[in-house]
Amino acid sequence: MKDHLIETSGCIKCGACINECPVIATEGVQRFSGPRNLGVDAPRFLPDIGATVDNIMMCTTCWRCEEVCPANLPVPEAILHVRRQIFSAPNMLHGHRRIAENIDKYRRSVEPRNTHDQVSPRGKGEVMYFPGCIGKERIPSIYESSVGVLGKVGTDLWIPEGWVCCGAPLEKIGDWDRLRMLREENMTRFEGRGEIVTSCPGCTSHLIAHYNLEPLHTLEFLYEDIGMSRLRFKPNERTIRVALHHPCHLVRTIGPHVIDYAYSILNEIPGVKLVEMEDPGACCGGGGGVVAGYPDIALNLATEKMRKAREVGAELLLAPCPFCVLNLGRLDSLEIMEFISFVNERLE
Amino acid sequence: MPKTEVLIVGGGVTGAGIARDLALRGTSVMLLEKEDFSTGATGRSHGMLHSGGRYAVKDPESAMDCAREGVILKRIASYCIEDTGGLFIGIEDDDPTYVDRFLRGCAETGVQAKEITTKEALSLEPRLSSRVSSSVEVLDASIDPFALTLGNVEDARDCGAEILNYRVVQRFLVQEGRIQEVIFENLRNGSRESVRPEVVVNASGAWVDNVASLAGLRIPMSIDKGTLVVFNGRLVNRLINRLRMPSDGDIIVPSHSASIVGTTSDRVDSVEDFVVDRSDVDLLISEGQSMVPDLRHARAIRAYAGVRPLLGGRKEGRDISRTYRVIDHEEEGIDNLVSIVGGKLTTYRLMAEKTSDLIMCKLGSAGHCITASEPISNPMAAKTVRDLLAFPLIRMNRKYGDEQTDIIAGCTSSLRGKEILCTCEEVLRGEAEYFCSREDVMRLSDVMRRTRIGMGYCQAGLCIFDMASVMMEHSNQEPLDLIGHYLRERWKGVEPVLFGSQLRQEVFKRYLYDGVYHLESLLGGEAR
Repeated sequence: MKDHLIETSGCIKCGACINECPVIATEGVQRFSGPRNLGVDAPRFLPDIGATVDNIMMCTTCWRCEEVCPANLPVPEAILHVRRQIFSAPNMLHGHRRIAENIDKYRRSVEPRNTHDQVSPRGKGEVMYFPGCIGKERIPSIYESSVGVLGKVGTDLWIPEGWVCCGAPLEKIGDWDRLRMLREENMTRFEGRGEIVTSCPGCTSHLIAHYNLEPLHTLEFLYEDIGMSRLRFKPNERTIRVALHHPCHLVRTIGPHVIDYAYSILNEIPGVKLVEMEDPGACCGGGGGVVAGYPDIALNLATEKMRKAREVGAELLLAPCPFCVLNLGRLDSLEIMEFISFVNERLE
Repeated sequence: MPKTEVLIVGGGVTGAGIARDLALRGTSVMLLEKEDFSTGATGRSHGMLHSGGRYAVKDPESAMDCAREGVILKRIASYCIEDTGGLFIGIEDDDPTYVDRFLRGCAETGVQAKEITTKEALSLEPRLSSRVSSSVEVLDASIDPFALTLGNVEDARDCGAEILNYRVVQRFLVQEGRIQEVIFENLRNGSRESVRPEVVVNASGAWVDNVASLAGLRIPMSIDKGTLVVFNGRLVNRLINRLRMPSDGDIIVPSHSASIVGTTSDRVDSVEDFVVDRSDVDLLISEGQSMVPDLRHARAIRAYAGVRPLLGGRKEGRDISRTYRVIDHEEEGIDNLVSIVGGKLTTYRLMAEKTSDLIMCKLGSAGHCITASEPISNPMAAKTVRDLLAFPLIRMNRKYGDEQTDIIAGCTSSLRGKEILCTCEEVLRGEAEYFCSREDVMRLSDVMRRTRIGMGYCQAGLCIFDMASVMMEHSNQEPLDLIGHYLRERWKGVEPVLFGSQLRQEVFKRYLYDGVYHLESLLGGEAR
């Protein structure tokens, strides 16, 4: 495990993280004391870090602070470490308690819907598909489209029977006992896994960091393993103005290359007119447990995002992340769609 | 001309402690301090409340005093003490017979000590070296010397004492074997004032000889310099002591946001010699690492040195007892002068009690010492708390006491009081406003000692200007003088640790100060 105190001790107080923090921008430092305070300064007073509880859960873990830090300090991880250190079941925020209850009852971070798996769990596929809670239970079209797209390009899939939540939401709320339990359950079910594909940047980064696996986000799988030449899109006469949101965990924890793949694919789809919104990498508010913990903050950030997309005349906003779609979808000011779902709609 | 029963020279913890003790006994007291409170050995100490273990083998008298006083201070000054507990750890290669001598010494001096297994020690303090070979748990604690002194000052004031800083004693008017009049300069306005005391107490620490010489006397002193290095963050949560005969770099003290490694011991000639040698810093880091290897990667923030006012004699440095002596100068021909020499932060209250006993005797007054049972009140009184984030609030509780205070009320009622002024130490602007408006605060470093503003890892890199602007609301001093004076002091501590992150920090500050604010040309190169 990283030594967070030592790892973050190189701060020189330049203020970049504070200027760039999306939650400070909408909420102000009187409400959210910010990444430097929570990740770098407060942990130095070890016996007192419990006092950060009144605002530490407001961080969306967008990773922007680390990206802009001239010393490249792992501030988001340090914040997550504080959340882990101060976690106390009785003091959980209401929304976070519901996540924990859902895990205990259903092994999902959200209440499940009774949709049927389209893929035989016992199939002999070469590629293991990990659906993830949001894509499977909350916006099932993501699950259906992912399976659909992967099928259309000829991938032989299987889904591990009895898969459970990967644990990423639990990492965000600091609940490591449940996180470990889920990891153990999943690992026994991943036996004979082969290559792993996921729809969710949260699941992908979590499986990398906490399972020591090498999963691919669907976009990576399509671009790297399948190849652009095998994607055949329907002709389309009507032109639609599309903006692309850059999900934080996709571009900053998996890697900036993935969003380039998304652009490459969009450029091939007939009828798509790309419009670039201002700061497409700005956080939508969907991550870090903020939607459950502080829905008002998540909504403020989503409102900003939608405004920027509408400003450039977008008719459709695409996001290659179920969490972003879930949060942005709470506003109906613009049509929002998960990226692979859109690809599925346009694929021959 | 004003009169007082007792005039105390020196506003360190001993002088402040004597002032409180005597004031509580109903005596009229005046205290004169040439700078701010706790700027000598008090403020440059390790901030350690000794269990007595360190002296158990070599200096049993001090060990017994520390053991008793530690218990008392935890009771009467809990607001400025973090009762962390302590560990003595022996490392492979250390003398293996020392642990038995240590435990015997502790038993004989009444120092509570319990040997624990290496495994237990490592589970208590995961950053300890894997080469730990023996461990003993003791009752050490971390104590804030600035807050302790101020608590004594404010309590004494509440009992009617006149406690004045920035007053330099210049002359004793001696007639008929008595100090009849004390003449001092008020640094705030340059005026010369005087007072007629019945008894004068020389509690000027390392400067006792200088003060005694004003009455034509000499007090042979051994001036011993100790250097300490401040590291960012709490690498340990207990005080860690090396289990060996007292030597250099033996102790790590967790304090607020930092871990302080010390000390060294070198005889020096001048009491003003606060210069830190780079070789001492290297020694401390390497000795500290043998107990806590992570120190190698930790960020050194600054180094500082203080002079221990030890009783003179033929012995040197660590061989000199840390005990104290109350000197009645009657035999030397000055009837009404008493000096207090030697001692430790941990035993300050006992020293104050013994000194006060002698003074009461000289005054011919009755009145018993009650400082062993009477808690020191928080320097400030209670008010309400609203709209503050929990973190700055808990920091204020740590600094100023558990009760909700006037300072907190100031933070919530002042227009910009809730803004964080010093981000390293989580100090709100309202705290600075409160102290800047007080009589005894003149310089920026005075605000620092009261609030911890500027003590963090950036060493006031960003807050210096906000600090100065708050100060200017209550001062007619030249702001550049304030800033220049403060930065010069900070620089002394930073210069010896200019490597790693602290070097990058200073380079960034230099760009900021010089490139953005053009401070260097304004200060004539003093900001470095």
